[in-house]
Amino acid sequence: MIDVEPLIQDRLDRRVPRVDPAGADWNDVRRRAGADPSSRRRSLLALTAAVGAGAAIVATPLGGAIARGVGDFSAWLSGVPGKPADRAEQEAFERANSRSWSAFPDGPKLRTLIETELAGRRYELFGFRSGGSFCLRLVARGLNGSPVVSCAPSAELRGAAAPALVVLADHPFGLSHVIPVGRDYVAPASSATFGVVADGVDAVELVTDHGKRRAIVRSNAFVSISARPEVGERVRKVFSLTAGRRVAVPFVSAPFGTWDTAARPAAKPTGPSQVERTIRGGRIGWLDRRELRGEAVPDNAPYAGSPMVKGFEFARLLTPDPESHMRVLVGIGTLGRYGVKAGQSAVCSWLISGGGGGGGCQSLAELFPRGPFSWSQALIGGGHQFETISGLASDDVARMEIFFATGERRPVPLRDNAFLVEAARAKYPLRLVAYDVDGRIVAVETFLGDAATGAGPRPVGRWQTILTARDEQGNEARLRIAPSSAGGICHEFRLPGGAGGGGCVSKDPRRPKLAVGFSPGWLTGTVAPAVAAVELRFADGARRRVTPTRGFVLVPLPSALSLVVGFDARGRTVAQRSFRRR
Amino acid sequence: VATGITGDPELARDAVQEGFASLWRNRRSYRGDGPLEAWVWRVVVNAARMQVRAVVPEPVATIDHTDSNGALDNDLVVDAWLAALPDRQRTAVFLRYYADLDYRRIAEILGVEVGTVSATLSTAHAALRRSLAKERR
Repeated sequence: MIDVEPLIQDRLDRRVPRVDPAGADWNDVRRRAGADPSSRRRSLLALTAAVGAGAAIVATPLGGAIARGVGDFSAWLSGVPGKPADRAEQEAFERANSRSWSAFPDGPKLRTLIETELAGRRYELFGFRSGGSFCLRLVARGLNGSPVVSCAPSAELRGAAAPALVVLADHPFGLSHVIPVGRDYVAPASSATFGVVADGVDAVELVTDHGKRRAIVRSNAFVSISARPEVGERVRKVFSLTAGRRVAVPFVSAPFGTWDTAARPAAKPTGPSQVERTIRGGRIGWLDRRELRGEAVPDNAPYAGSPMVKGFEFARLLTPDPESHMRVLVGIGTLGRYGVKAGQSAVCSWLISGGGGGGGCQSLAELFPRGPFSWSQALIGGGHQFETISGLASDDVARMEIFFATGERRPVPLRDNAFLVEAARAKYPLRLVAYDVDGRIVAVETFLGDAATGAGPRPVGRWQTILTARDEQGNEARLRIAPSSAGGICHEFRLPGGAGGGGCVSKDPRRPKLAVGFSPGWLTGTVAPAVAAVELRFADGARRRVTPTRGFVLVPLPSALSLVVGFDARGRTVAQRSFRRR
Repeated sequence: VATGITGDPELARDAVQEGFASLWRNRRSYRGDGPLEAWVWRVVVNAARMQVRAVVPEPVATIDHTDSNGALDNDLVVDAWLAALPDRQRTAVFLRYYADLDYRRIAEILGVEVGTVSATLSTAHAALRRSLAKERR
């Protein structure tokens, strides 16, 4: 039987936008009610307050939850949720932490939150606090990809809009070591979504591509394991349930494949948008003077041999936020890579986090070409709900602030000219604002989406299958199209066996006339309007001519292809592409 | 919810404004024998229904049977199903799945028994299942 409830909820949520109760026109209500505005204003406000309680519950879910007797996240902010982890687990965690280049400071103590078994596997969720963050660690016994650790700033809990917070979604365990054929995908053995809840939350409900499921809620945490999920199955929505009331939990789905990436959020950025003092150039004095700020880079650090960071003549490991386990490595060298010419001195900055590192380089002569700070966005994996923005700021910057789409603002830790801040992906777009020593705004950078947001053209509207074809064995392939967000057309093809691909083409008349390629046994692609026919020439001398359908071709290849030729309406050759083996 | 009943955001806004004006005018008629929230809902839902009676309803969507596949088709089916639902069923659907109200509260708002709400939604679900199954064949 089809479970229609998630379909209905999802459709209504997307079709009917939620109305902001703050936009209510109470003067209009008064006029319609025939009330005397001056004499009855206080009474009306009293009614507004009374009936507004319902609206307030919708607008500020956690506020409503608290009003109904639900507690807050104090278990995570100041308490000790769960029970102490057993000694073996604590020691294993400490060993791993001591080996990490970005170790959690102060020896965090693991707490066991949830233990469960599913499909013969044992899963254990642990939690700990570290500095200004709280972290969850999920162990899947006997599966690779385990354990996984994901953290969130504790500040997120103080201003939470919902009584639950997702930390990581759809993390795969038990990944296959077998390389799939073509571009097909292999499902993991299991996937997990977990997070924390406030006191009093009864249940956490996850709406996935294949229906609804309830997470296990215990010890102010939740975890939901999906054994043998479908390829590409994702959690799309999360709700907390408290005393029968469902509250949507802000959340960003993990991306999958070609198109399944989050669109840029529709919300508007908040905070200042204009600089008050323009700065060009900019230096970092201590770096020019080679002062020994921060720490030396340990020779035995896991990243020390990485091509990212080796070869520096001067390098330091900085801790912009003493409450964070993450570091920023700053190095100077003549690397001849990462966009800096050979022989030219470059300054590189790399974020070092528990899950990896990343960053970039800039010419030492022109360290801040775009403004007084440089930045990079780092996301360990698509399911992590928080990404890190880090970088370097010039000596002109005295402090920095981050502004979220929710209207929240927080100071950005800045030390030794390095900064880093963790941002909730559900709160984009955001702004980073830099101030000088006099409090004037010297730089504003707006981030419309996180690192996993689909920035390029994407299909919008309805897919329409325009081509189907069968190979000699009778296996069917399909090609479908949809309007592109950039004004052209997106296409997607699926070949027998599950392989597939696609892309978007623009309306630009200068685009390639013959953008075709071959996947095993098939020719697929798009041609420009000038191409009226396409001829396939095979290595054995055979030829086949096909007429593109709305500019697309999908042709089975019975033998090796050597050349594809495009003809215009008059039969003249306008393009060709060779597939001869060199 | 008002948008769901009227099918038009502007009419819905008008209905909500009118509903709250009606609440103010009739505030003394609230006897306190039921939840205030249910009374507010009932008045606003009735105001939205009054708006609908003043206009000729239009289908929200129809299903285009051209060759297509993909998840977006479900949206069209659900839209067409919503458009075809009788007034009371559509109101119950919006109260349940958009306003997240439980059956008891919906019954108070619509002035019916809880069992009637359950049967109404069950009938609506069955209609949607039939539409989806037909579309997937």
